[in-house]
Amino acid sequence: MARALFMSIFLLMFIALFLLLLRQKKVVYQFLVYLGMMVLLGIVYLFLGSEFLMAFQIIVYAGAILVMFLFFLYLYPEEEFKIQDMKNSSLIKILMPSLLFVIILILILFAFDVREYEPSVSVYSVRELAKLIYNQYPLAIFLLAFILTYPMIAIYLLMKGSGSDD
Amino acid sequence: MIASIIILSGFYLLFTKKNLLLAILALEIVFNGINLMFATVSFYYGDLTGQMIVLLSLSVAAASFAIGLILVLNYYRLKRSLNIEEMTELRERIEDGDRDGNN
Amino acid sequence: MVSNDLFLEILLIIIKIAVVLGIALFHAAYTVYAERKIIGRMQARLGPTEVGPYGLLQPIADLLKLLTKEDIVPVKAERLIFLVAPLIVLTFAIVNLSVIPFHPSFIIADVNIGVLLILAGASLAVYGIILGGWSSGSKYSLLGGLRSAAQVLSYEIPLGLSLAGVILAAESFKLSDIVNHQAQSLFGMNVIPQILGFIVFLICAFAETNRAPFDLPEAESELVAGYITEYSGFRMGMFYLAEYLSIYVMSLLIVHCYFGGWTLPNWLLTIIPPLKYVPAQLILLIKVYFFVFLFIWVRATFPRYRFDQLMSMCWKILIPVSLLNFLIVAFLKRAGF
Repeated sequence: MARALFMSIFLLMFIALFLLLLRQKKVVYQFLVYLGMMVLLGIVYLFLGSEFLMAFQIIVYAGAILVMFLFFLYLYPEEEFKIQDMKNSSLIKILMPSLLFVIILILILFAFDVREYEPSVSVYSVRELAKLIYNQYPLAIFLLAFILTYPMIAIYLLMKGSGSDD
Repeated sequence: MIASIIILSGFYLLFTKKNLLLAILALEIVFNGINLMFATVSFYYGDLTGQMIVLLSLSVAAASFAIGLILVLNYYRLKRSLNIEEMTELRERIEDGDRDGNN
Repeated sequence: MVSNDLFLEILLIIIKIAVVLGIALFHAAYTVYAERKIIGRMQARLGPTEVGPYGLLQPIADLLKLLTKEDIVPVKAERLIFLVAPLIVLTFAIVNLSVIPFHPSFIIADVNIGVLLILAGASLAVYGIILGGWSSGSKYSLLGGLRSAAQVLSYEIPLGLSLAGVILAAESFKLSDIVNHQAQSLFGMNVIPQILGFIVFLICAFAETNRAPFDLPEAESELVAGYITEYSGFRMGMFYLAEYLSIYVMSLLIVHCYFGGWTLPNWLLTIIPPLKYVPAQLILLIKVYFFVFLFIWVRATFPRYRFDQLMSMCWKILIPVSLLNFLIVAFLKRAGF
């Protein structure tokens, strides 16, 4: 009961922050509102029982990625960012697919019977989480390493490319 | 439910704004909504797999958004504008010479 | 009754917060005084001696001066963010204190992920610096703030990696578990098997708090005091208070992670048996005071790093060394220590 109350409060706060985002005129303020949304998301993770995820969300998004975006925004002049946005009348044509998605989602949720799901193992602490990742999901770690080589090659090529042009 | 609202609002932002940085922001909002959906499902079923998925995907997404930002930076240096509607060309315009690159 | 229990718990937490805040702020304020005295003595002069006996009331005089100064907000500044930025830094410097145990039974928030919250607090405190630098409306503050933020952000990586070595050795994220693990281990303190990690952590602690020899953004001879340029009165005081408070937090972290916290190593207790009766708080106090003295000592001794030397040292030297330290810890763990 208390959890439902908190979740509805968070939902209202998210909607309020999103409307605030739409109302801002400068790009920097929009990113600062986005920072608020990331911190709120971290708190929602805490209420969903995953404190480890909260720490990671805050450190990664609010501590590294958004700082990077803010660096870019501060060093480039604001006058070149003023771009007029789309009118609301042409929005309906674009939002039709998402509406379709929402309708199908509601149909699935209410029409089909969701079965009981028994997880095969329940873990409770960070140490067992680490053991589980290492023992039962090594494929995930290999895939991660494989995927991460592509960004490194891209960075190297970008650095080399911009150096040989000048 | 919060997650679906976040995803849909991210898509709305993606379609209405014409600044490239705001498009990347909207994609990040969608990504966070998906992460939240995984965490919610993992909470309601008591299984910890959802949280591990979020952990791994969070770290990969951080690196990929960093690289997206580098691409935007280089494009901005080249064209001095971040309007999506002006990015309509796939290759540079060659003033003299053929379209195949022979001068 | 349930509501009675909840009320008592909340009251207990509020009392703990009041005690910790009182002691920590008192220490932070008097660290300013201690620094001026010690650096003065190291430079063959006396520090402040006018106010009170031996100058002991100097922090109070400073506080009164800061409170009564005029609050200037520049015309081109973004007003709301300008007013709020020092508060962000101070808030997250204080939040770091809530997960550090001062005694085996005295911790405000005993969460499963103690050390990660300190990293998260350090990441969020960077925002106060960036926002403060940008909202001042002048190019000097912007560049100073960005430099400082780049420095803090880069040095968080070796900090996290050397902490990862400590966490791996103790198999838990809680600081009280880390201290207990050190008391029961063969080496006594974590510094002996992880000397490389200790050196990396010490250097990163200097860089994280924007403190000498890495204090380029706020040095008086460069960039006109960086992101603090446009601040005056108590807001400037809040920035400095946050810096000295984070000195305190970092030295507490060093003591808990590498030097055994409130315990003494086993081999020392066998050599000098009377040491068993020294109370835990005294041991912790002596160790923390030594590290705060080390921070002040280093400021008086070393010259400043240039910014590119700073960044190259972080990325080219400290990260490989901390990864090497992690590897060593992994091997030791495998061998059964």
